Amino acid sequence: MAERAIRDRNLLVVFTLGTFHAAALIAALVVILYASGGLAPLLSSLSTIAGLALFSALWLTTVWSAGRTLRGAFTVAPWTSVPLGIMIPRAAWRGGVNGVVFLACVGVILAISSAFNGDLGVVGFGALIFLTVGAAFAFVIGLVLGLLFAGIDLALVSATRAILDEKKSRP
Amino acid sequence: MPALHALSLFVRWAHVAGMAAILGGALLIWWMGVRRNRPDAGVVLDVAERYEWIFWAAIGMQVMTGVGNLGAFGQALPPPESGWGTKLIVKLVAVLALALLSVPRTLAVVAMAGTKRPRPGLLSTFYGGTTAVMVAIAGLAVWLAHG
Repeated sequence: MAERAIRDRNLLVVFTLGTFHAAALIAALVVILYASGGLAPLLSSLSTIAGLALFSALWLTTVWSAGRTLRGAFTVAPWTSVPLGIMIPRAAWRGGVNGVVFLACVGVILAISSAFNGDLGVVGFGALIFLTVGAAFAFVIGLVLGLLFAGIDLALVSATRAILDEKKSRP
Repeated sequence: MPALHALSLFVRWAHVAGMAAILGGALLIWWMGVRRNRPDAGVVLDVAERYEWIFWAAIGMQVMTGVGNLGAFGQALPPPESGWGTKLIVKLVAVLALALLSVPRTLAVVAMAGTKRPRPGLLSTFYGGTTAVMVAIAGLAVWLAHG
């Protein structure tokens, strides 16, 4: 019973961080694209179903990635005793892998969408790009984002510890 | 009703339902913690822990359906320099801030549940704050919906 409660809490932390990363990334991108005038053309080129599928894929792969990063790193509190020298490279690596997995999902979703429109040439060209430059590019972007979110998460964990520090909060 | 119109309607419904879940849940936990005949702090913490699952599922849904709602505008999306555009940017930044500030709240709830040491005052502050931010975001959303 107690073990199940601990596992559920660990899962909640993984779900929280994964969802936070995916939601914050998309919200920040939407703000930047909208402010620069690039949002309307991008959204016009995507169907609603494809858009929902793309975000679902990003959400799923990012939660999975957060779970892989935090594997074996939990204690009774939601912070880890694993040294930063291990956690940060692990977060960067998992970010890179997440980038490649998400790109593969994008490829599948756009291929299905193109196949429905009868545009199979685009599918072949997209597969070629994915297998060459796309995967490497996605890995680097994912790695940088993994590092960025690792830094943000560490700051948020420090903030939580400070909030919960009863000695400091007493007058 | 055409299929795409039904989907667009469903996306809008999910967006409003998600906002209601976030706001209603935070308000409920805050009220549980501050009312005169308040329940045991452990019960409030138990409800808060369950709420955190709903909150993060709803935040993901909010972003997903929010982008879907913007997509429904197509090329008719008002420019960022317009009054509507400014309100949209403020709303998006507020949602980002809510997500950022909610991570320590969830981690603190998990830590309190793990150590079985609920802090009633802290829980009320967390959920009162979440309610206040959500009321502001909901107000902006209504303002946006009416042009």
